[in-house]
Amino acid sequence: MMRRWLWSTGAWLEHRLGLKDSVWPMMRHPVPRGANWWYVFGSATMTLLIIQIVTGICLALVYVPSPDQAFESLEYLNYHQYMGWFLRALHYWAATGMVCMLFVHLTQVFLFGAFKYPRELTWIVGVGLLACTLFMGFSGQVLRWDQDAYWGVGVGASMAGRVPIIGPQVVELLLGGTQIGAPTLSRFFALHVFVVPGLLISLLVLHLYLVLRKGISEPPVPGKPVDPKTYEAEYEEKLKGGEPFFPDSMWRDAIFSFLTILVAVGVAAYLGPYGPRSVPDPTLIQANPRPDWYFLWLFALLALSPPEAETFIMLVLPVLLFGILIVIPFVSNTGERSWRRRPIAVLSVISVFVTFVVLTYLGFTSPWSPEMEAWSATTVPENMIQWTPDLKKPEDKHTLSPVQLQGAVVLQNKNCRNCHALDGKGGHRGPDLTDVATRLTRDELIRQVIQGGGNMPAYGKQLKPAEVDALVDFLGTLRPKDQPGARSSASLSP
Amino acid sequence: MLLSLLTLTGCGKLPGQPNPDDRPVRPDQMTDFRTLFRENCQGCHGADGRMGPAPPLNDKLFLTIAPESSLREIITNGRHGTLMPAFLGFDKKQADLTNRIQQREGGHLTDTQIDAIVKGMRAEWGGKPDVSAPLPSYLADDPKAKGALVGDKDNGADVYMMACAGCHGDNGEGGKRGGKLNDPAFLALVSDQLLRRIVITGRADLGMPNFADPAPAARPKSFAPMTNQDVADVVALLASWRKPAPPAPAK
Repeated sequence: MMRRWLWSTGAWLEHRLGLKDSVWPMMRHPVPRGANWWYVFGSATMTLLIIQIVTGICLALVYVPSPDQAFESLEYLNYHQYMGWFLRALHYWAATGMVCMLFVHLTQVFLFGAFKYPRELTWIVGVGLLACTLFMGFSGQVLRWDQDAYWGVGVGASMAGRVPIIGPQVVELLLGGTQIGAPTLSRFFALHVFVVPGLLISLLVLHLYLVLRKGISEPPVPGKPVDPKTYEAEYEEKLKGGEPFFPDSMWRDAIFSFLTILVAVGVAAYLGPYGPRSVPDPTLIQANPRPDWYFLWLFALLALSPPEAETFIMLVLPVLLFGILIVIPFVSNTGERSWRRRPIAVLSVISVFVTFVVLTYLGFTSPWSPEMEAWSATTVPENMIQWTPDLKKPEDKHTLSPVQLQGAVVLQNKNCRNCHALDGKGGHRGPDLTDVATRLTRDELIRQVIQGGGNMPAYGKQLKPAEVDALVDFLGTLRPKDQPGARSSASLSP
Repeated sequence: MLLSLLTLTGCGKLPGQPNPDDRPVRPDQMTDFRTLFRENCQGCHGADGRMGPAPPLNDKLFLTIAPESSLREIITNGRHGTLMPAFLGFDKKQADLTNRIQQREGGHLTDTQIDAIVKGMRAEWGGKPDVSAPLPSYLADDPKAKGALVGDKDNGADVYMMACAGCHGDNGEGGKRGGKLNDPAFLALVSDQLLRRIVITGRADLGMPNFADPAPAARPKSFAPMTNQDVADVVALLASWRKPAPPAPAK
């Protein structure tokens, strides 16, 4: 009875939808044999996108996109809503996974030469998907309305403001005014939830349509270059001996996507949500804002470049990078596909990844940034206050003299520690002072403190003579106790 | 998988679940003593209030003699004539925006936070000091004393020979156990009140004895705990070693 009812409903639907003639052939379309585990990253990216859509919708049910309530609604999700924290965690970690997977997919397609004739458009649409995903990342960080978000919007808007002629209009469009205000968050909410996802999904449909229409590229064989005159005929020939996508090829995608979900869920459950870090209040000066990891490289690049390069990095570099990506299939849409015969491609990938990793690491550690709280929060290592010169005589302790103790207080009080570390702790803008007495003599120390130099400001006017004396007395003790202090290379006596 | 996850949450907390105690607090709303001390004080006074270059605060004797009002005053306005900066960021009564972002020399604490530090130090580190002699007053002009104490440096020299010379040398030139006191830079950076405090409390964390400790290795057998007047006298002696401040560097 039940089965007959199901059967007739199915037939009724099929008569109207005609899935057997449309979707089924799509599922069964032949793919070239030899498509292997390297081909699973695109579908995994899409799987993560589906997680993003589902968790995003759930989050949007609770999140309030208004500057005075957004932070509270995030805290509500974190601490009160049942499993709300997990939704936030999964949305963050699946986003991280999606960006990673997207770059892996892009690298694989690039190294396999799959962007070459006749799949140039598939690649270009993919570049559009990359842009959408990165914008989703940035706007998502803004919706996590904390200090990072507040200053992140500020930086983003300042960058946009540098666009020639239409800069002010772009800023106004993004912020809903000339400054970050009540409409700003609504704008980013609309962009993150309606505009960009709509664009992203449309592009994805086009991307998939192109994949189906032009077929997935067969694994490259060294010495078999792409020739637009013959390629399509050869590909048709290969398809005759191919296998149906469903189920022969799709099971790999299914398994990998399942594993991807498993990892995303596991990481989310284990590491939990990211932020919100601190209240988004511009009057709080104890701010240390950082972009999310996928923009740390840009943060580092901007921090380390000379001021004259700023506008270039902000406005020209993104256009240049995306321009290069778009131009690639036109510059090289024929010839060898295998990475074994494309040394420039391999070297480019290696240098891009090394640059990305190094800049991201630098952005994460940001050694150029003074540690503004170090003066009052980072202690002077105890073994610099009191130490045992001879380990065999532990009772024989050496202690800083009263004036040296005052010198150590000067070091803290005058914020030296914000740029100079002791034993690796403190700021890293200036050199670590742990062994400074092996490098500089007393006179050199006095000169350096008073006159500055080598990026260090002159402190002569900030310090009383007694403070300089005490400070230098303390600095003179900073050396391994079995090493002599620095000696002057110039003879002072006539 | 989701099911197994749900069962897991039913059984216990997942490691990723955020702890409400870790939620971000506005820096001016933070009133936890340990956090406040870690962020504002330990740079100079040492982790756990000892073994820093500045005098230890984790000291029962100090916390017993120093009145709460003095502690609050020092943290609020700094200690005049020393490197201790003011930590009051803005006045609670005028806590409008202008005042909130206007900073004083040292920190940016509120009255409530300063109160939390004073109370926290006493609660965590206070207690009865291991001293049987009568305790000298913390301030030289303690209202409870019969009148302001006036130190006499000649008498101070005798006290110095008994209590200090064993380590710091007969003329404050320093010795193996104690550093130089007769040092113009040192004396220029410390106030008489700071000297008084150190003479009374010593530096237990660095091995310097307090006003009453017979410290047999360093002090003579005839040593007797210093009286309130002895302390004032020895401070007067140290102060007499001060040299007039050199002229400020030309601008």
